[in-house]
Formats: sequence, C-alpha cells, structure tokens
Amino acid sequence: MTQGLRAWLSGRGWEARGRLISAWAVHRRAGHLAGSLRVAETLHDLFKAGEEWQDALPWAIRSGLQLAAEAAATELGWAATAAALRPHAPPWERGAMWEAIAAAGTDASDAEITALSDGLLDAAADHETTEHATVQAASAARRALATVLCRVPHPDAARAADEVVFETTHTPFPPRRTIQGLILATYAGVCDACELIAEVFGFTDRAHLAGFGLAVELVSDSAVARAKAVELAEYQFPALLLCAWADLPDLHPAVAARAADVVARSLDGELAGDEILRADDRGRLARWAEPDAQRAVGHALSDELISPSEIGAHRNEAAVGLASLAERLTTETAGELLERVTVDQQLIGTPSTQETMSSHPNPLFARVNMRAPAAHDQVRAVALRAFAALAERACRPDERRNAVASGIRDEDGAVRAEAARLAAPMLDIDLRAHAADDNPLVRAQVLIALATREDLAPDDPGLLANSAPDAPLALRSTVLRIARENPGAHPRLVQALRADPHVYVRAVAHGIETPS
Amino acid sequence: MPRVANAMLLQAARLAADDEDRVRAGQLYLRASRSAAVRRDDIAEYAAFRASWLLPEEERWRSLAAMARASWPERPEESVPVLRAAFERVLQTEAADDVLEWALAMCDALAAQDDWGDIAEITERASALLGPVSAVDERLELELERLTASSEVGDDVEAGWRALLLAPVGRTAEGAPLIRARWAMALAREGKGTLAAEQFASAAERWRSTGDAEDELAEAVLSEDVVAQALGAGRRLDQAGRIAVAELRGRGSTPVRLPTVW
Repeated sequence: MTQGLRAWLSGRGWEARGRLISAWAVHRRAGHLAGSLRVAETLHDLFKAGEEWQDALPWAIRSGLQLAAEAAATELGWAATAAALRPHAPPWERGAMWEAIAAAGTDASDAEITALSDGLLDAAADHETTEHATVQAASAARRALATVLCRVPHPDAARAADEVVFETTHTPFPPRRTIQGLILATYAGVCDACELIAEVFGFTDRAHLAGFGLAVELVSDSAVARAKAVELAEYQFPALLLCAWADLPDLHPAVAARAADVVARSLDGELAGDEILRADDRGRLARWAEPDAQRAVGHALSDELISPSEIGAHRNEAAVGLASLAERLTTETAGELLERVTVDQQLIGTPSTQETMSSHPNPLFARVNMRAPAAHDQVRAVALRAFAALAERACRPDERRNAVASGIRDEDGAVRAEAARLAAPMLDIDLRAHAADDNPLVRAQVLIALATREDLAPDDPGLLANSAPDAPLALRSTVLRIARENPGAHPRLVQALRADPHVYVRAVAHGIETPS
Repeated sequence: MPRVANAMLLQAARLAADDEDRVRAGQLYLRASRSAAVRRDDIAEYAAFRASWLLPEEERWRSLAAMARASWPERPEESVPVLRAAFERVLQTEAADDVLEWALAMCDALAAQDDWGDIAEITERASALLGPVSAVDERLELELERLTASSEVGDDVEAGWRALLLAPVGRTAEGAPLIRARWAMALAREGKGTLAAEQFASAAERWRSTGDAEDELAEAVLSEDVVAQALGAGRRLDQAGRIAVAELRGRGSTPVRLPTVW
C-alpha cells in the first residue's frame, strides 16, 4: 500500500495500480476485510484521478462508495455499468451498485429491468434506515427504481412507483433523481404524480431538481397539481415561480398580486432571503407587474443581455426573461426595448469576457471555483428569441421576419435551431431545406415546425431517420413527441421508438396507439 | 528475509548463466520470480523475463506464465489467458507443485475481476488432484480460495469451513486465526454479520496469543469493527479504540502473515 501511494505521488500511475492491486490481493488472502476495503477505496481514488472510469467503477462498488459509483456510472453509460453489477454482491456493495443503476439505468433493456426489479424492490422496502445519518442502500435502490420506473414490468410497477414516491417525500436532500423519474413516468402514463411534482417544485428551487420544463407542462394539465401550486405559492417562493411559468397567475389574482409585489420589491432591492430571483424568473414574474415596473425590468434585462462583462449563463437567463416578458409589454415599451437591443446588437454579438467565478481572488483560498462558459451561441439564440418577441409586441413583423430569416442561415447551430422554431408560422420561409442540417438540435426544431405546419407525410423519412437509436436523445424525444401528438399517423416510427434504448422513449411509444 | 534470499537466488542464477548452465540459470530465475510474486516484489517480472532467455523451448511457457503472474495487476486482460493456459497445461501433467502454483496465481487475478465462478471451478479441479490439506502452506491457501469462491457463488460451505478448523491444520497457531479470518470475511460478504463478527473476534484472540502478530491482530479487530458498521453486528470500536488499533499496525511493510514458498 505504501509503495503504491509512493508511486502515485511520484506520478507513476502504472506502478501505483500494480502495487495497490497487489496490496488488495494480500489483504484479501489474509482475511483482512478492513484492509481490503481501505485499499479498494484508494484504488478507486487512483482510477478516478486518472479518469479511468471503467476501472474506477468496480473499485467504488467494492468499497461501498455510493456517490463515487454514481459518478463513475454517469461517465460510463449503461453497457459498462451493467458489466459491473453482480446479483450476489456483499451487502455493502449493493447500495453502490444501485446508485450506479440510478445514474446509468435509463438505457437498460426491458429484460435487464425485469431481472433487476425484484432485488431493487426488496431493498427499497426497507423504510427503517434513513439518509439522515449517511447515504443509505435502500434509498439508492429507490433512486434506481426511479430511473427505470417507466419500464418496470406491470405487476411491480405500482409498488415501484410507491417506493419512488416514498423516497421523494422522505429524503432530506432535493429529490433530483426520483422527481425526474416520476415526471417521465407520469408523462408516459405509467403513474400519476402530478400533485407531488407540484409540491416538490413548489418547495425546492428548480436549480436543485431536473425536468422543470416537463413539470410545468404536467402541472398545467392537472387540476390537482394546479391547485397545489397555487396553494403553496402563498408562502413558498419556488411555488410562485412554478405558477408563473405555468401562467397560473392569469387565473388566480392573489398569485398575480404576489408576483407583482415580488417584482416591485426586487426593483427596490428589498427581496427576502429566500426570494432568490434569477433574471429569467424576474422577466416571467414581471408579466403580472405594473407597466412602469415592466419597463424597468425590461431595461435591466436588456442591460444584462447586452453586457459582455456578464457571464454567459446570466446573459442567457436575461434573454429568456426578456422574451417571456415581451408578450405582456405595452407596444411602446416593446418598441423602446427593441430599439435598445437593435442599437447594441454589436455588444450582444460579443462573447462574455468572464468565464469563471471564484469565491476568493487567491486560488489557494477559493472554496468555490465555478466555470461559466460564455456559450455565446446559446446567448445569441435566446437573444434572437427575445428580439422576435419584442418585434411582434411592437407590431413590427418585417423586422421579426428578417431576423428569423437571417437566423436560419447563421453559422451557429443553436441560432439556426431557434430561428427554425420561430419560423414555424412563417410559411414563406422554406424549412424543408434545413431538415438535413448537421446539427441535431436544428433538425429537431425543423421537424417540430414542419409538424406544426402539417407538412409531414405519414412516417415521413425525416422522422424515421431521426429515430435511430444512435441519434441524440433530444432528437429521439422530439420525434417521439410528434408521434404522440399525431397518434396513428406514424405507425412505423412508433414501432421503431418502441425498441429505443431509453426507458422513457420506449414507455411513451408503447402508450401511443397505432392502427392494427 | 525473503528479499535477501531472492537476491542470493538472482546472484546464483547469474553465476549459472555465466557458467553456461542455461537450464539451471533459468530455473533459478523462475524460483526468484515465484518467491517475489508472492510479495509483489519488483523483481518478479524481471526474473521471469531473464528466465525466458535461458529456458529451452519446451519450458519457455513457464517464464511467460511467470511474467503474466507478475504483471496481472497492471495488465489483467493480457495476463489472465496466459495464466489459464499454464494452469490447463500443468493439470494435464498432474505435477502437484505446478498445479498449486498456477491455480493460486489464477485465483489472485480472477478475484480482482470478481470472477468467482471460474475460481470455484479451478480450485475444485486442483483440489481433486492435490488431496487433503495437511499444513499451513500453499495447499491451505488453495483450500481457502475454494471455500471462499464456493461461498461467493452461493453454495453452502459452512461444513467445509468447520471441517478445516477441526483438522490438525486448523489447530495450529498460524492456521487457526488465518482460517477464521478468511471464513469471517466470507460470512461478512454473505451478509451474515453476527457470525462474521464472532469469527473475526476469534481470529483476533488467536493472533494475540501467537505473539509478534500485531498487524494481524489489528486487522482482525478493525475488520470486526467494519462488520459492526456495515452489517450492524458485533463490537464497534470507539474513536480511541480505532486509534489504539491503528497504532498496532506500526510497520511500513509486510503487513500480513501468509504461507510462503520458503
């Protein structure tokens, strides 16, 4: 062990690997449980440091390191993770294995899920041990069930959903993994957790969760979920944001009044400690603010979008907020902001100069170092969205059309994708020519636009080509959505999606009726 | 002093080579490699490589297998097939020492890949050829591997462990705690916390009475503590206890007592 660590410190990884595995073998042969676990953990650390995830995962599992197994499995994907699973593993290894399934199990086949289900359900049924002391195996099993929930076989599906709900409501941490599983399973029709989804997003900031966009859709479509969100919005700030993105203040004056109040206080710098307001949320809430407040927020968001000294993420959020607010501005304010954005378009075209954030100027003492890539293509894409929304509100359709037509020929894929989305109702812009774009995001938006225009033939070759298992998941999800919204129109497409590697795609595809 | 003995073996091998006695030199290098491989000494691969220059064609597989044994922690995917071929070859010859040597080499490499099914198969076939365990030696080690692997694949081998403890070798000063520690580890891996804790405690007690086995004693006590933490059975050390036990493990090398080829 000592020789292995010395080799590691000297940068001789190959020797460290040999020495440490030898040390592990010696401990194993001598019956040293403690020693073998110590060395296994060190071996995991070594492989992790070398980013050799294929080797790191088995050692993470052997030493029972759940979070380390999750990290390694995330890097590896399902095929390599499945190879590291052993049904008769010792008890302390099982939690790590289940965490690995939770991280990478979305691509498990139906047969693999069936084989795993019994073990996961048995482990998940342990409700005595909680995560308050440390990371627990039973919780990991419930998280793994969440990941594969869409395709747990029928007799066990309800039990699995109950366990995932239990974990969501009992974990002391934000239930990122389980709420994502519930959102996807609810959307696929496997279970109905809309009210719980509203509750979780009502209590926990979406920065700690996953699937906010789909959650908003589900909450909008469910009466109980809407009621829960509105009820929580009175005293829970995340619930107010959820309501805002679901446009619920339009129907609930009390929620609209609270949104307006938050915006007014944000302009006065008097927000409460728990009212953490991102720029996109600020623009959204301002939809229900007074016109003067809307104007002030619009200018603040424009300032942020225009400024290259802001990090890319902030500029992106500002543009999203501006696009969201634009729909409710007065024509005059929209025109004023449009002028502002047009005059400073050169600055919007300048990438952010700041790409890192640090909690201390001296790197040695900086507890937090955050990379904030300029992601300039994304910033420009949402800036186009904001520009189009402002132009529409300002009744300047020609400027809107010209911007979209120009965007569709842009060199950045993200901008082309946004332009394709905006071009859906502009029938004079030919989108067919972009259906074979190199960028999958552009292809996805073009397909959605063509579907909106009802310009897709049954089992359109464009759809089928983009449903292949090796196509990016975002693209497969898009064609899945098109197939779902046009049941019966694309039977071959649905058939192909039923064999998709991803559990969610398979589950939704199986729920789409096709002509017999 | 295995390192000194190995140095002398290497020197003898060099002299034999200088004397044009290539076969003798090759055999000495192989002995040095085997001895060094037990402790994962640097010279294991070097000595095996030198042997490959000296051995006659029909014996050269031994040096290749010895190189694989020395290098499996670094290159398992290349080494395991070579070791497997060596094992199959010696099984045909029924040479007991060779079978023991290559079966154990396989066990080490396969255990690192969690390939317990293959270990069970190899140790069964080797044990059938080698007969009963009679001393604290490599044959005992093979038997411990056989029982461990059977336990890992879900077989009930409690009777086998008990029989080993009741045999003369299970009542020797070094055999008794080693067998109990291995059994305890197998029990813990099966999830049988109470039994595992008992056997670790028993192993610790026996290491204590042998003297000059502080490292083994410390490992047994710490392992019992791990069982308490992971499986909720047995005694759990408090912080002071852990520090005290860690202090027992004072030496920087040779932390274990294992049967050696010397």
